[in-house]
Amino acid sequence: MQFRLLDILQSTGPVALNELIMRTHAGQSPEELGELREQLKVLVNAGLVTVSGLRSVDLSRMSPEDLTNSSDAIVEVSRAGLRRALAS
Amino acid sequence: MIAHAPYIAGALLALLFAAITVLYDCHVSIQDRLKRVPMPIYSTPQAVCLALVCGVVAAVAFGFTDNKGDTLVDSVLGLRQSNPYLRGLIVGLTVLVLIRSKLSSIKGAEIGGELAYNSGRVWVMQSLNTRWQTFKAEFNRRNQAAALATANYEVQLLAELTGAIRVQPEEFRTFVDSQVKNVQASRPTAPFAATDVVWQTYYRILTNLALDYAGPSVFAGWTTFSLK
Repeated sequence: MQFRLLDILQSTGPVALNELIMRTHAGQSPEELGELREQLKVLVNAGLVTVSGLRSVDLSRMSPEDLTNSSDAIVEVSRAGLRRALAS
Repeated sequence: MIAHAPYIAGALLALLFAAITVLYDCHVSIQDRLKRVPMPIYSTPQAVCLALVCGVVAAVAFGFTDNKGDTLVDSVLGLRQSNPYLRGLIVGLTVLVLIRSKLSSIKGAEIGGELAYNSGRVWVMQSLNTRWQTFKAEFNRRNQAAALATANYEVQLLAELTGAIRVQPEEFRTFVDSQVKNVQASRPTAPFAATDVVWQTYYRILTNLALDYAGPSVFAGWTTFSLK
């Protein structure tokens, strides 16, 4: 069963990007990491998730290696995301 | 002064029961949405603050009730209670009806009390998340050496985690299990070394998984671990 990224983020609280990757993707192939990056981008653009502490300014320009080594980047559900979670 | 005693007691009852109701509502909504309440809701100052503000609203609302049920507050709450103590208790328990009544929303858009209350709950959830992140970081800092020194740490910890969530709904167990399997699929291939950063990261993520879904009590029997 595939759980939504947002469900996992809500259940963990703020989490390091590399930890999120390990929790959500078993293989960590470049294709899977690309898919995660796209999912994150959609959530960030929708204002539901924030990513802080990224070395690269643009999430979409991060390579798979950047993603898996990104222990400094913290991903968390934004205020708008929490508000939506409460309303659902 | 004595003549005012029932009124003061009623207002205090309204405040107390409103605060308890709000703390309970925060607990339930956070447990429902976040799939866990990582720490007692009353240990979060922001939750206590929100509860007290709602308690004051209830105490003020109590002041606008009477023993005939003729006021606006009485009509919103459907009150017709002459006993001031019972009236205080009912106003306290139903304060959220008052705050979140249709009077404070128009066509689904939050305004007034509904907006303020939901913003308060988001504030509580955010502060709880921040406190939880800090707790996990400190727990790992205190116990990482003990974890790395524990024989079969991964097997033992996952057995404890499985046992702790056994009583949870199947959906929740599947949710946790899928994350455990994903993390295990990334187990370092190099031989175990406590000084290896990759192994340290792997152990930290396993510890966080156990903390997130079973709470710190999962480590209760681990004598080499410091829980506080």
